[in-house]
Amino acid sequence: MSASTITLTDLLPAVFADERERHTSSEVWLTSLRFDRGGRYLVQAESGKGKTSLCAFISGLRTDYNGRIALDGRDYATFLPEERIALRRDTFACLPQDLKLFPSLTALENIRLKNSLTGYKTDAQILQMLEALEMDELKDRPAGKLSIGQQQRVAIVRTLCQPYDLLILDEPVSHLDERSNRTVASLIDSEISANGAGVIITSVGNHLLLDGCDKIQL
Amino acid sequence: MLSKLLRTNISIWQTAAYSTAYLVGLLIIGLGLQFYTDISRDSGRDSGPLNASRYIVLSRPTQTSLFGLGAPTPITPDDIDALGKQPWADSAAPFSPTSFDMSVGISFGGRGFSTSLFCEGVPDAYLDRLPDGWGFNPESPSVSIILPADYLALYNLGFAPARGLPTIDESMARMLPLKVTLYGNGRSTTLPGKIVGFSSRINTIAVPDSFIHWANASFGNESNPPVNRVIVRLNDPGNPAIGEYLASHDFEESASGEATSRLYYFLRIILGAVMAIGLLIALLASGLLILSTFLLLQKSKTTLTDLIALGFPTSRLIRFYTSMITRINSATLLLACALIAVATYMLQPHLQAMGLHPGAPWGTIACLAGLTAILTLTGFAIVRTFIFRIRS
Repeated sequence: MSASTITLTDLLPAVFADERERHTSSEVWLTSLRFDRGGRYLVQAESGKGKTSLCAFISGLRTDYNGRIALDGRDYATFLPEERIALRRDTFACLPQDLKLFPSLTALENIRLKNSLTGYKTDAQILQMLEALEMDELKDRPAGKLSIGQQQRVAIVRTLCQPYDLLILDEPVSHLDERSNRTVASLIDSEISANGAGVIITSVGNHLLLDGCDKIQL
Repeated sequence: MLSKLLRTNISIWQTAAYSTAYLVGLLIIGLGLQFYTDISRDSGRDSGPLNASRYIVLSRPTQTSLFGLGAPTPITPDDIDALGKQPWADSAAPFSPTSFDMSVGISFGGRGFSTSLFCEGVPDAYLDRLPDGWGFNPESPSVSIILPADYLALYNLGFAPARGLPTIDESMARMLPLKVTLYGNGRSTTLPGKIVGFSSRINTIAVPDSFIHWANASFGNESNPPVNRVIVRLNDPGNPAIGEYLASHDFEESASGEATSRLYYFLRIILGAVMAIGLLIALLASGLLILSTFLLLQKSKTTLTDLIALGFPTSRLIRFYTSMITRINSATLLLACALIAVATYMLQPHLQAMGLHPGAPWGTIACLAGLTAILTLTGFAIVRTFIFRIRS
């Protein structure tokens, strides 16, 4: 399934239902907002404003919201559970904030596991991406024994191992230094440019240094 | 890769404990069922040790008068009807008595003897297998006789040696030319007779019912002589209600029938208990499988949630667990079937020595396969429910 536009209408997480007035200044909650294929969006907010919830709602992982999300006009509420899973396989590539790597598998096995599902990248391309992010020497180390920053880079490579129209990155460089940040930004830039895909990046301050992003205040 | 990830939460010891418990349960149920089948199959034969347990022969105690003369208390048609309608009885029928005199003569090897004979008519339906030559045709009358198996032994071990007569076996006895003479109503006739079989069930000299009716009409002094004995086919030989009914209605059961009936009753109780224990163990093992499956899924819940978040279809995750359950249960079932087949083979000579006729364990194996299929499908249902709940 391909996606050109995601539309949010009067969206608000169910947990915020009793504090609507607190979110009246938000450019995301309780407004109308569009994310287009090919667009670059940087969603900025303080902690606790619902960045991770927004990513989970758009990727179909959670449905505990009020309002409406539509994919090319089709309401998310009409998607069956298996359809929402399929969206995450071939339409939205998501990097969760907590990375969700499997600690018992090595860095490379974590990536191959995802790639075995999609068959999207060759082994050479995977190794090339790991090398670009300076993770090639640690590829055979169990993910549980990597630092958070290293895990973040492995998870970014894994996220890119699937077809997508929209890349959803929840605080992708929160544990990376500026040099690594630039390397990741460069990789993401080349990947989404090659695919013509869009990207939504959330951040509490340490932004991914990706050019051309529209800034949206949550 | 997916299998490697999902296998990390599987406990070898838990799997081994489940398989062992299930194997033991299957073995107990299987062997109990097989033995029960052998016994039940045997009770349908005419020659097995338990065959008589399906039939009882009843009479009423003899009433003795002041002068020492007694006559058996007759059994009325109402008594027979009531017996046939009991929940533990299939049917009941009288042994047709004679109201004429009868003697049998035999001669072989230049010597011969003749003796008065008492016989009773047995309805054909109470013979599991009609022997060749059994029946009566008034157009060319001859008398076919079934003797109690004990009589042949009595002749061979007692009568023949004392009189210097040769001993005979069953097949020879069937070839003996008999002459049966009937007396009554001032008339007599001599008919050819033949021993057509031996029975360990019917303790009387049995002739076809139709012969008795024909002979009573021609030579009898009573058209409907009183019935003194009745045969009952049981559908529940071990039922304790039988004894209570017989006592309350003043019936006496032949001793051998009573003994086999009790033996059958105790065997059934013991086998029932054994199979109940096997079923209990198998149920506990099933509970262990269900619990282990739940624990495994619960331990793997985060992994499964993350895999679904990555886009793995639930069908692939379900398939991993259902395939695992199928492999474990099939291996346990195969092992149980192999052990039961070996045990059946090894026990066969011993059972045959007891007069039983053990059969192939296919029925038992089918039952165990059915039980395993139910358990496996239950495991599938648990896996599907759990994973679908995570998905939504």
